[in-house]
Amino acid sequence: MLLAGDLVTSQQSVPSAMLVRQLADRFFEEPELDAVALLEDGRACGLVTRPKLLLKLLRNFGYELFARRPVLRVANPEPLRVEAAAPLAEVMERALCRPRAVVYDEVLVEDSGRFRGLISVRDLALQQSQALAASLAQREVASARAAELEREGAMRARFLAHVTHELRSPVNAIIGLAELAQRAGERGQVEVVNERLSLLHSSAAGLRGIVGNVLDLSKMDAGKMELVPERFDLSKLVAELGETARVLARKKPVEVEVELPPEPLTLRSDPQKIRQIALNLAGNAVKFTDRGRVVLALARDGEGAALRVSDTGIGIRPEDLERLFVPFRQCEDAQVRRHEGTGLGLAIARNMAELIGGRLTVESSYGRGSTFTLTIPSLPERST
Amino acid sequence: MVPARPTVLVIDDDSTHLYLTRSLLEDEGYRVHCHQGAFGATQCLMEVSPDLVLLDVNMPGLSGENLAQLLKRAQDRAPTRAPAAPRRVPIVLYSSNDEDALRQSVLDHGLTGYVCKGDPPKLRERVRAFLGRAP
Ligand SMILES: Nc1ncnc2c1ncn2[C@@H]1O[C@H](COP(=O)(O)OP(=O)(O)O)[C@@H](O)[C@H]1O
Repeated sequence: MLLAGDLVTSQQSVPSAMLVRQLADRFFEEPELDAVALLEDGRACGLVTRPKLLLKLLRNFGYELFARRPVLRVANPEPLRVEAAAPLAEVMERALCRPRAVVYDEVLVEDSGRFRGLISVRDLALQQSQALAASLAQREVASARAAELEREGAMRARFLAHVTHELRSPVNAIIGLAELAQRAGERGQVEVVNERLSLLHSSAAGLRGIVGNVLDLSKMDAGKMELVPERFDLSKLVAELGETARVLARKKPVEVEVELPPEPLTLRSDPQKIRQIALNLAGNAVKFTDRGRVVLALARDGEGAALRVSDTGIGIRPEDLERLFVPFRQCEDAQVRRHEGTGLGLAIARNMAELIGGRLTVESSYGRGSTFTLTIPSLPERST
Repeated sequence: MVPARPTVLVIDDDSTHLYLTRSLLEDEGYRVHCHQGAFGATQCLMEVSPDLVLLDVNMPGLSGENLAQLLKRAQDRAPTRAPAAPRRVPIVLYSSNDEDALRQSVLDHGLTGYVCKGDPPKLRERVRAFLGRAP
């Protein structure tokens, strides 16, 4: 916080015994001099301002009347005095409360009675309004930040509630199925036991997937996910993915096509991460397409590559496009879940894409299909 | 005349949980009708006219609480088929959610009660209690 002493712009003073004539000469010679303090033993005993003095001298016989007198005669003997350590707001208040007749622009600043200098009310006002503007701006920034934090906190809480539910649901199924399997076993119903065990197995596998996703996400959140770059043939990886996608689409009238560049596409990146991203994209493409085609198209893109996964599926509404990449994007609208699934896959995929220095983007036409594009730069040798 | 075995309508979007609940309750001797997902559940309720509804809370498209409201309204409007039993069917939330959250939902929406998933003995005990009789 600024204090009165900080705004001192002039230390002009003259001895109180100086003659009016001499002071008048100084005002004439120094046009930027606005006011002077009169000093006696280092203490201010009055203030003379340029307008006041000139007005006196310009009156009829004014000069003749005052020229030879000591300046004290024409001074204001009781100017506003403030302590150097006074806060500006206080100075301002006192400056504005003076009787009209004695309102000057200058205010005397003292330090335990000793003259320190003059400050101008104009500077003071300017300074105060700037400080006010700054503090308003600061307050605005602070409250925006607080709102953001609160939103983040709420998002986190909802995220946690969601994760908890997603974890509990399969755990509960596992507990129940285990009990049921046991009962069927006691009754010697081997087939029923097998049925229940295989359901138990798939619940456990689903749980493993969710746990893996949550761990991935929190690793990335903490900046702890490592990149393991190596040189490899991306074409081969995409061809393998195509096979996996075909298996996933086995039960549907969905063709899976793979388009590869004519030569092998070798580059340096993290194949594990790319596989995980692409598997998620291909999995979604198959999941959200009832009939038609899913295409995995790989192409060179400068030093790197671009992988496009497109489908002829249900598509995505324009307003949902960016929310896809927010973990549990369905969190936003109350307790209503739109689709099956944890809603973590794309959030992880986009994070991973950024980790390998690439980008994951989406285009979609609602009701007709979607295209996800992953760009994969080739990482420089011996850098991670 | 021996009263018919009580019928429980289970509404859940997860087929594993449906299978599980059906098996647990059938083992107890209840008649169980399963409906997968929230859509069409009100229709199903009127067709089956069960003695108890077990309702999952987290379903795509429609939250269990909202569905419960619909179910209650559907019953109010339906012509009472059995004038001797104009009583509303108890609706019980059945979910993997936090117990506190479930209790709150029950209070907020004027439902009969709740059961947490993942505790078969508790399910048996509560269902029996809500029905007010053994199967
Ligand atoms: N190819 C696609 N076509 C239509 N919708 C999609 C596609 N891919 C993703 N989505 C939408 O994005 C949501 C989030 O996907 P994702 O993060 O992988 O999680 P989830 O496990 O729920 O599938 C999906 O639930 C779906 O609504």
